[in-house]
Amino acid sequence: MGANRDHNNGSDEQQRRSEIYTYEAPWHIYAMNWSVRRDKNYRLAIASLLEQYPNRVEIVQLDDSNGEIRSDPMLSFDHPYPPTKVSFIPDKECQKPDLLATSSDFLRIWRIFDDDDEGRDDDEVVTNGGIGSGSRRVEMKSVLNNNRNSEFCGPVTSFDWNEAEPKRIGTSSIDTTCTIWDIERETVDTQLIAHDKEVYDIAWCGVGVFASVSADGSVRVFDLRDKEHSTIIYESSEPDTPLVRLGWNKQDPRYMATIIMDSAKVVVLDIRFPTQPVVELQRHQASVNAIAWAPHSSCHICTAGDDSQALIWDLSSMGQPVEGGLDPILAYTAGAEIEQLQWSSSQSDWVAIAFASKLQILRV
Amino acid sequence: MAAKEHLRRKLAMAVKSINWSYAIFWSISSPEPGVLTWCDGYYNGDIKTRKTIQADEMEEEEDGGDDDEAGLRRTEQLRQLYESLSAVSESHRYDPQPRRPPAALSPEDLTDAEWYFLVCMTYEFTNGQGLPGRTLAKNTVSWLSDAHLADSNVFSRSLLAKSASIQTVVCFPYLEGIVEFGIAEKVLEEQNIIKQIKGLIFDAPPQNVRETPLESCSNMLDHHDLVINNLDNMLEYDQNQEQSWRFVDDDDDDDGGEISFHHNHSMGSSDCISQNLASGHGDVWSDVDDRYQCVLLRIFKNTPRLVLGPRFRNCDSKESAFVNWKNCDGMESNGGCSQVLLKSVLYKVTKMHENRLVWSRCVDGNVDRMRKVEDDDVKNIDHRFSVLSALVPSRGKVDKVSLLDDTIDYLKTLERKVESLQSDRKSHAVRERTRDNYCNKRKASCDPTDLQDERFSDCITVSAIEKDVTIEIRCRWRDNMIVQVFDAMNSLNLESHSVHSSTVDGILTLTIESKLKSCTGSTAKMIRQALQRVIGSRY
Repeated sequence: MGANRDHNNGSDEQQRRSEIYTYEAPWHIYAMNWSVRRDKNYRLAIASLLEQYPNRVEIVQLDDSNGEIRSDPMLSFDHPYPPTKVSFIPDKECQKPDLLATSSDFLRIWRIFDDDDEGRDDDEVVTNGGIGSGSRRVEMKSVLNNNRNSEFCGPVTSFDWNEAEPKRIGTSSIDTTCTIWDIERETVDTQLIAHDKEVYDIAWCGVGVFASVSADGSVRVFDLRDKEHSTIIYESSEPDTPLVRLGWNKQDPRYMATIIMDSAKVVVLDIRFPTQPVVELQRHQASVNAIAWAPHSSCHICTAGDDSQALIWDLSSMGQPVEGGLDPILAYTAGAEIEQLQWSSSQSDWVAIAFASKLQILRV
Repeated sequence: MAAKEHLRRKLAMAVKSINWSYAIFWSISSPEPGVLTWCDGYYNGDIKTRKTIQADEMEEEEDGGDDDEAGLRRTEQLRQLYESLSAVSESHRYDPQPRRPPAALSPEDLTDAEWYFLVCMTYEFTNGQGLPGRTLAKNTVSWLSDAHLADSNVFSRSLLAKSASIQTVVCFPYLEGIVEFGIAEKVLEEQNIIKQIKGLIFDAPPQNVRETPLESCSNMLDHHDLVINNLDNMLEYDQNQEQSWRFVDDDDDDDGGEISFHHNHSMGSSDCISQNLASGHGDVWSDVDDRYQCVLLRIFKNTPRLVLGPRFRNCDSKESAFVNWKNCDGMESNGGCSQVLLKSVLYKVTKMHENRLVWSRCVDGNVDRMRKVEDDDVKNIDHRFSVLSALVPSRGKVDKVSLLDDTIDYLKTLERKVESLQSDRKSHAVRERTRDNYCNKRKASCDPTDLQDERFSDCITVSAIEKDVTIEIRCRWRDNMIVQVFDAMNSLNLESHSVHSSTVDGILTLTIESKLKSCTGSTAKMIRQALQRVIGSRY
């Protein structure tokens, strides 16, 4: 699919100079994420959301020379059921194999062979699901399925790859559990019944601590060293209003942000002061769909929602209450409701959004 | 280092005594003779966030010793930040960024004036270039009252000063370099201030530079009178001359004689100078842009633009896609469903997996909520699909598409069979008496009595929606049939809660609504199979 330097809804001057790159996919995009490896800049994975068994995942890359985003046909592959989330391995220094994880009915790990001289290494690779011959391809490395061992086998709503311990992935499921996987041994480290209802999102902080949000309206923090106990950090004000997304500030682990179902409000929490939001960001004019903390800064967050806007907020004055509520510092208006937002952790000047069937990467 | 420390303290003392914003000492660098580079400085201006290793916050008020320490620490932190930023900009791009210690400053903690102070660290001046350079060349005091409006030839950091609101900059020679002071206010030239600064700086000289000021002082004292005379002449002469700035011949002075009479004259002339400066600022930005941008790019190459703050974000040529936020921007939502894709991902997509008829544990309380947001269409279709899957033999894949494929194949098979049957009525009619998932055909001997009733066939239908299982049985009645059926259901962990049975003409029609008691893995297939055995056992 072709792509070109897109034009913002702004003045001509801004259009010519502002850095926005667009890719149009043949289907609606939901799951999307940046690549983290330093040797593959401006690479993303996008996945379709088709209500059918076969779905598609594509690896796209921005070509610096002509400003186009291209999808590599050798690196596109079929995926069973639409992925609820897609993520590259958080390995900036390129020490581990180039892996991609997707979640739908199960968690699947894929290995990307992107260089022409790669692929003939001695690693045992499951060739099930491999697309294309030759050295550039994506192969399914493992399907992490706990069905046989447990009566808990629900589909995976979300997962998070632990940056401090990249062999660890935590998944959240509608069967109310969170499962921690060791993807190198392809086994379950532990499975916790996290909530009373479906768990919708999970986020790591450090090696052994994670938080999850659920349809029961609570944010709970778990520590793998003490699996019996969890701490409720926040509960939605109307009982049983699901919390649908969660983001933990990687630069300042005291803060996390969560999205309430059908709400235009983003709640920022301090884990030192449970139940009491630090600040509520209320400048979206429709419900919020995605949040992303800045990977390099401890006080910037980006939010995007059904009002087609992506807003960036500066939370450095969080402690002091602001008259009339906190205002965002920057805004971007897209052509349709923004469904997905990811801030690149290796290139902290870039943010990617997905709306309708378009992917756009924006310079901040 | 002791000398350096001492120098910094003296700068600190001096700048605090006059309550200005910063003091910098430019020294002639040893590797490049004749070039002034940043040697030391003290920042005394506004601070946005304090970062100290101790938990307690330091007081802001001038508190003697404590405040000194705080100020020196702050300056040290700014220097460290500069060093870490410039080190990062030169490192190989694959090298991991050094993690700054937690008490170190990061760019977003700084005010504009601190930025100015920090960026000054990158500057160098050759002899005669810039304000410090010229001061060095002429070996006199330079006072610039409208630094932020100055021409870039005069003051190369004028754009920088403008962003930081530094309005007055003063330079004078000291030892082998230039001392510079600045303040974020407009201060007209005052000899008292200069005298005061010098007094403090020269007051307690560090060991290894003791000689120099005394020497120069004695020299200067000699032709002090001469200078004063010259100054008088200059004042009369230069009143209306267009000059970009003015020298004040005010040489190194010990705490000696008053030169207060300069005061009045200098006030007058500095007014004139200010006007000159003000009129000359015109369009200087283009000249200084390159230099300015080079400097910034060098420091900030690897620093994310967002943390640089609004003024520096667009300092390179690449514009941001984001604009400053204004109230009432953006489109109103159409009032329809909100978070449509998000909900679809959480609800519909996860339900897609359940069509595989593998039982998963779902908590009862959720069912209502899930049905509330689901489309009725989807629900009805799903129900019908599950009934269809109970009727059609599956070939392994149990998603909707494969199910439809299987149904198509099955229908074709059935049609063929019917055709062959119809064309074969004379011989034994092999009728399918029971339809089930496995395509098991029961060959029954033809009972003449059965032939009369062509429509009749045994039928077991099991349809399952989550835990609710509906069983419909139609078969020839016999004793204890129902009891046996219930026994079978019990062994499958089915708890029946509603039964409807009727017997017409020896044909039993049994409809049972039941619930799966636990997640045992019983599928509709298994249930049907078991019931088959019960009913079929009469043969």
